[in-house]
Parts: sequence; structure tokens; C-alpha cells
Amino acid sequence: MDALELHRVIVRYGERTALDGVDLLVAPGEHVALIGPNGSGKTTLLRALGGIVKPQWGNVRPAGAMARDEVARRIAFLPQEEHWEFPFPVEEVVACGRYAHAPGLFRESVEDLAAVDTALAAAGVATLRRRPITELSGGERRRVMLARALAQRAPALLLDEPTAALDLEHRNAVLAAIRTVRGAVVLATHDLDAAAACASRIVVMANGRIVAEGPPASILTEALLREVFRVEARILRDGDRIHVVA
Amino acid sequence: MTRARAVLLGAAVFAAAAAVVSPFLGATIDFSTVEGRFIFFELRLPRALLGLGVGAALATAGVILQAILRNPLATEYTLGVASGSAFAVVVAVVLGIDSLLKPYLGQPLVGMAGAVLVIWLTYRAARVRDRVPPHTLLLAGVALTYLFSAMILAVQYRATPADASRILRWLVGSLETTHRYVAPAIVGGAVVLGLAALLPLGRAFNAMGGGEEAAEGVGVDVRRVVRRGYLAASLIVGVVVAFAGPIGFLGLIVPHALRLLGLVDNRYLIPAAALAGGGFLALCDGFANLLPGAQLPVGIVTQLIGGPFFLALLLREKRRTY
Repeated sequence: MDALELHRVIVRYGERTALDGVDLLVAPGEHVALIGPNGSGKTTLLRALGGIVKPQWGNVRPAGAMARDEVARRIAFLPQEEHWEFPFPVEEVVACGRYAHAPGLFRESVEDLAAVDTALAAAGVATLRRRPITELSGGERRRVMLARALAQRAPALLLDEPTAALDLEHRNAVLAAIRTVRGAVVLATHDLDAAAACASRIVVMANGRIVAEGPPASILTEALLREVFRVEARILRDGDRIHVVA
Repeated sequence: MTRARAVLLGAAVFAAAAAVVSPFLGATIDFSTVEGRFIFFELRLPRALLGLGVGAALATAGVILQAILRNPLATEYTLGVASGSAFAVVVAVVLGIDSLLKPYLGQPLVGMAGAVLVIWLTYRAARVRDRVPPHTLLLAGVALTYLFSAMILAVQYRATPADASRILRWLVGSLETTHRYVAPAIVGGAVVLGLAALLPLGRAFNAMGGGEEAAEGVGVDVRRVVRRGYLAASLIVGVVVAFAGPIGFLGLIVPHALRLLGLVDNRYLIPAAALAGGGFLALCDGFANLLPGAQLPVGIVTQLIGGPFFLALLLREKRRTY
């Protein structure tokens, strides 16, 4: 199992610099949450780690020098957005998570089918397996896409806003599922409670740079939220749990 | 049996039935006579086989381009390939270039050259750094479609009455061929090669259904898949347009009809569209024999039959869903 690493990475979209010399090392099995205001570079950081965008400068390991299917066997990626035009059945959407294990093959192996079943159950969408993806709510689609990422059975998982559009019950179920992942997890989120609940380290981003990082208890402070998010918020501590009230 | 396999099997049965029935529609063939055998083996059978090949190519191209562009209304005409191919053939007809080559090679070669030119132009116009985003591909294709359609009209307008009439007859789309089995063999070969390139991409196209980023996340090399799919679909369209003219509607109606029957998975949809498209065009050509008066070109018949058929399927689905 490899560590995920960005070394002095710069990513630009036209004139705009999305990542500005970022260094990050995620150890195998480590759970890291990325937080920061809109446009701070969280999504681009995940894309760079997953080899989806190629940086103009710097090194990305291991995705930087691998073919796409090889990357997908090591790193699963849940994008922030997806849009479906055709009504694919949910189980086919999730089965696409097995693409990298046998690209071009017509039928799934027994292992593929088992991975799909396990992923559907873990994301709580087993009952939706025959439904067309176009007929699902935003929250249901989000869980299906999470199941697809889990079906990849990769040792590292990159999740962009995994709890967006979820109701409370499913948000908690998804967070519980993420906590049980034994591989490395990097999740970008605006849900600061979720970040504190899932991650052993929080990385704070602003203007394409990492401005702070450390354990949730030391990072989630009222002063930092005021400085980075420009809001007056209170931090409530309940045993191991941290709640942000804005 | 899953629904996808059932629909694929149904498409195969439909194609086989169409191939058998089509040559006999509108004619009583007496195999005991020389004339009867001539009509069947020299006229009707090659025509039915050409219909199977042309229909297979156009319907397959429709599925592929819809998957690449993630747009259910995309067809081979949306991306300018058919118009470019048609323009090349129209120019060749006016200048007499096609007759300089062997008749059964001139037209497809010119059609392919037109398709390759449009593929290159569209690709160059749509490329953003090392990517070809679907929306820029679509815009470039639509622009080239209008450009080549206008140029076809300009050439036709300036042509002699005889050439203008030939062009008009060819543009309507027809399976009339004087090359007997040469045309079906070339079109069939192009379809087989195209399907060999496209069938392994079925699951990649499924993964791309949620967007490029989602597909790359599960390991699809989207650039490679788009390039291969676009090239293969465009080249088979170039070959069939050269032989049969720009027959419309098939690339839209066949994939949609199959989707309305519940087949969305591209691994099954690609071969099912090839079979159903081939069967549909062969049948349409056969039905043209049943109409009174001079036989209508199949390009008109596909739209006369396809339009109401498609509407009926749509209404049935609407009643079921809403």
C-alpha cells in the first residue's frame, strides 16, 4: 500500500492558480479531511492526488506516472458532481467501479459481483439496485456513487463532498461507513462536524495553499474559523466529538 | 435471462427475420426460372444485405456518438461526418472523379476521404490542450454540418440539370446498387471492423454516462476511448454514406427504441443497435416495394415508418412512466 503524496504541486486553470505549491503526505490507512472556503483548492487537490488533473509543476505519487486503470486499482475517486443523461440501472453504475480490474471485458467475474454486492450494502443502496439512476434523488445518487467508489476496493479513497445532499440518517450512515474504511481516505467537505468525526488529521486550505493542519481538536478553533471562513462560530466539545455552531 | 440479454436476442431474431423476409416483399419470385433466380440473387438479396450493413453502421454510430457526447439527440449528422462525406461524393459526381476509379471503389473512397477530412477538422477545432471536451466537439460538429450542407446546396444549385438530378436522388438515400455483392461486402467489412473496435468500449461508455471525471475515477482513459469511438463510428459512417447516401433518422430512432425497451447498457446496446438497425433498414427497403407506383428511396421510407413508430413507443413509455 503506497502513501499518497503531493510535492510542490502547482495547478493552474488558465490564468487562475488553483493549487500554489502544495505539499501533502497521506500515510497508508490515514484519514485526512480537507476543509476551506469555496474555491480554496480542495477539489483540485483531490483531482491532483487521483491523477485526474496533471499539475503544471511538482510531483504526484503514485498517480503521476501511472496509466488510468492502474491508478484506479490503487485510488478510488468520488467526484463532487456527476450528471446522468441515460437511465442506467444502479447496479451497472456501481459495477463500473470494477472497470479497472478488467477493462474491455463483457462480463463481471465472481469477485466483481461480490464487490458490487458488498459496496451496495455498505452504502445503503442495495434496495435501489434495479432502479434507473436518473430516477433517484440527489442524496440517493450520492450514495450510489459512494458505492461505486467502494466497489473499486482500492487501498486509498478520495471523496469530494461525500455527505452533500444527504439527510441526517444517511449522512451519519455514510460517515460510519467511511470510518470503517481501513485504507487511506482523503475527503473534502464543508461539513466541519463530519471532518472532525471521520479524520485523524484536518488540512485547512485557502487560496490554493495549505494554511494549517493537525488533529481536529487543535485545528477546529474559533480563531481559525474566524480567520479562514470569516464567520463567528462556537466550538462545542462533547467527549471525543467536536461540533461547530455557526 | 436479464432484460438486456432478452432485448439483444430479440434484435438478433428481428435482424434474421428481416433479412429473410425483405427480399420477398412486393414480388413473387419463382426460383424455377432464370428470371426469378436473377431477381433474387442479383437484385433483391444484395440489396437486403446492403440494407443490413448500412442500417447496422448508422445505428451503431448513433449509439457511440450519443455515448461520447452524453446527448440522446446526437447522431452521425450532428458531428458533420455524414455531411462531409456527402459533400465529397457530390463534388466527385459533378467533377466526374468517381468514375475515374473503378465504380465500386470510387464512391466509397471519396466518401471516406470526406469523412476523414471532417473528422480532422472537427477534432482540430474541438481540441482543448490534449482533451476533446464533448461540448466543444458537438459545437464544432454542428458548425461543420451547416457549412457542408450549405456547400452541398451550392454545388447542386450550380450543377447541370442531369448532375443536379443525380445528386438529389443520391442525397435522399437509397440502397440501389449496380455492384451486386461488392457494396454489401465492403459495407459489411467496415461494420465488422467497426464493431470489433467498439464492442470492447461498452463498459467504458457506461462509466462515462456520469461524466468524464467520474469515468476517469474508475480507470477509464477517457481521451483514448473518445478518440477510438469517434474515429471508428465516423469511418463506418463515411463508408455507408458513400454507398447509400445520407440516410437519416436511423442513428436516432434505433438506439432510442432499444432504450425505451429497457436496454441502456452499452455492452448490449451496441450489438443490439447494429442488429436492429440492419433489420429495420432492410425491412424498410422491402416495404418500399409494396407501395404503389415507382419505388420510393429507402431514405424516405425510413422516416415515414420510423417517425410514427418512434412516436408510438414514446407514447407507450409516457403512459407507463407518468
